[in-house]
Amino acid sequence: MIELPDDELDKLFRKSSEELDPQFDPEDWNSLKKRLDETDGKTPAAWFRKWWPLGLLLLMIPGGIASYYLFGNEEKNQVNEQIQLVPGSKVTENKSAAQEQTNAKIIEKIDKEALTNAAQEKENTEPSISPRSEKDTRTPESSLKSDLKAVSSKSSKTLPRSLSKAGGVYLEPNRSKREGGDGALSLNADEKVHKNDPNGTSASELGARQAIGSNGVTPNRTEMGGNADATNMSPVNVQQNEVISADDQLDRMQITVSNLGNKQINWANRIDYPVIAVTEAEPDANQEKSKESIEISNAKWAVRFGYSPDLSTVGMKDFTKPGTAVSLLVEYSIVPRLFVQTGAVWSSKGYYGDGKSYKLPLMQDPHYYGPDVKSVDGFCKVLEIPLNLRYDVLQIARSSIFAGGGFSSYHMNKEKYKYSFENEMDPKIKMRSWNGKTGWYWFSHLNVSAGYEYKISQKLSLLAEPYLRVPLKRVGYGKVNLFTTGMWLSLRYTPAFR
Amino acid sequence: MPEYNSAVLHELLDGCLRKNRRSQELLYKQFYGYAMSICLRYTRSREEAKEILNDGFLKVFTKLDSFDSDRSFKTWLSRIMINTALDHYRQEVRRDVFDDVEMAEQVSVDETVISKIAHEELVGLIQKLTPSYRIVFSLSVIDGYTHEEIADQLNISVGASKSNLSRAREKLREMLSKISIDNYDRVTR
Repeated sequence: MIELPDDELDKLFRKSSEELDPQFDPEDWNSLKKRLDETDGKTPAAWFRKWWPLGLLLLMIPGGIASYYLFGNEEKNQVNEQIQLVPGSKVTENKSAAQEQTNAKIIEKIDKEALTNAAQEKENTEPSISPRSEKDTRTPESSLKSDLKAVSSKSSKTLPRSLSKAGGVYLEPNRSKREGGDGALSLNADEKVHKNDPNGTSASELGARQAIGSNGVTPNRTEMGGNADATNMSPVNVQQNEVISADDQLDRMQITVSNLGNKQINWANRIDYPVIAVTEAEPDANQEKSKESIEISNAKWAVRFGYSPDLSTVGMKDFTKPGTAVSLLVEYSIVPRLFVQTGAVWSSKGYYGDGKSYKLPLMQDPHYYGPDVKSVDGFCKVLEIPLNLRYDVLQIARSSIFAGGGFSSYHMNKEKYKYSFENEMDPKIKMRSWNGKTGWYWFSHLNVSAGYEYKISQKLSLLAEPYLRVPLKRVGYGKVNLFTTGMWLSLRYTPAFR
Repeated sequence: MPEYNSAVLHELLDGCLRKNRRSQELLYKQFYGYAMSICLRYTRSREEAKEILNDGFLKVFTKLDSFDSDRSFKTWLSRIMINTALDHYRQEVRRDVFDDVEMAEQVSVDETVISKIAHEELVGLIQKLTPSYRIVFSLSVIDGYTHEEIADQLNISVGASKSNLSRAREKLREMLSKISIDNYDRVTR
């Protein structure tokens, strides 16, 4: 065994430890680089981990807005339909063909509902009154027959007028005493059932609707043999209210409002009311809106503001930390679906490449005897003027998919180049960096992009547009082929010009 | 290793602060040997040393803003590497990983033979010590920690620290003798 004193032993090992200089292993750096990329969020997985909450938020915002407009519009449409049911309202005066058809459909629908409601009325006359909300499982035909039987039956129990409709009790005020009613003014069967119309349509309103007719156009008042209002509000002919068979009553009840609209009625004691002139309805908010939407759909101009991460590289490799880019662009539709686009893009670009990727003036100098530049870290701020064409490949309701292409001119500002050498301590190194600007490079890049647009309202839409800038010429002090990629997240505004 | 030019070092550190990968790579390369030599004497293999080295550099790059530029970067770096190695050791202790070294034959050898042993071999001998001996020996003999500091760092008594150091020396002497005999045989053959 070696008889070394402690201090000698310590000195031996201390010296060895201090003088040991392990050789650099590139594999060690590569494994650390991967970990750094993950920490900085440069790998796809790390990028996703870092940005997924923001991505989710970006998806939720248009989703929420879309659902608001979708369901909000449905409710609005329902309200509009109800408004259209009210006769005499300005909406029903709209004489557009489409709306006339809609009116006719609505009236026929109401007729059918009326038949069903007539059946429900029978239930109201029963001693045990079921709540109105209870679902009626009977067919319209069977329920109608049973209703008619109830009507013709003398034993049917009619509730007094004074009772409220609340609680599912419905009055029968429009039946003569012979029918078992209370002798009040009577409308025809259709009108009667419309008293129970959940839309709250009144008898007088219904009369006016009948005057409009099945096609929604007000019939000639002279053809009607008198005033339409008089028609509806006149007393019922007692002879017509004789007790008749259930089948006959069924036939009568199946006369729809639309059919009545085409019938001429002769009244014995006609009262001539002055003819009311129907004036042109004033333009309402809906019409204004539809006009505006037509204007927007035909709009030729649009403005968009965008943001994108800027991934610039020399030769599509060695991506560094992403820069940022913002854009303000104007679009003009030259033909439907095709837009010409220009504006300004401001971006900060960081890029890295080996020395051979650059044509540095330093290296081009024949009197340069220094070491070769091993690699260059570049950074610059660029003002870019794009001139692009955009074509909407697919347009679906609120969405569209588009592709674009064109050229960009770069104005290179605030360029910074930092050189790295094999031996940083080499005394022959004359220049380690360069700062400055080299100005315009016209049509230096080819632009290619494709994207998705989602309309959040008539005037506003959101766009996601991945893009690529391919160099057509070398730019900057380092004369570098600068590729750039990224994804525009833009807000597009379509003004409506009048 | 030559002392790194302070201006260049400052520029590299600036780049590292901006998370510039190229600057990070250059700094890593520049201090690789120094940091690795620290890691090697606290671990049993190069693989383990590499793990600690990269853990340590990751701390350097992520905590660089806490570095006081008026102080020595090398001292700060060595401190980070040692602390990372100690963290690693604590994890090993928890996992109860120990292995013993064979006793070397008791042979007396000429010191000139010892001087011919390469640095790598000597550091390799430290690596062959059990973790508790290795850590105490490295902290005390090479990095100059006192027994109180070691006891505090490793959560052991001062007596245990002294005892471990004494046994570490004994083990190293045994191993050194064995190597010396082998080398002597090689030379005389």
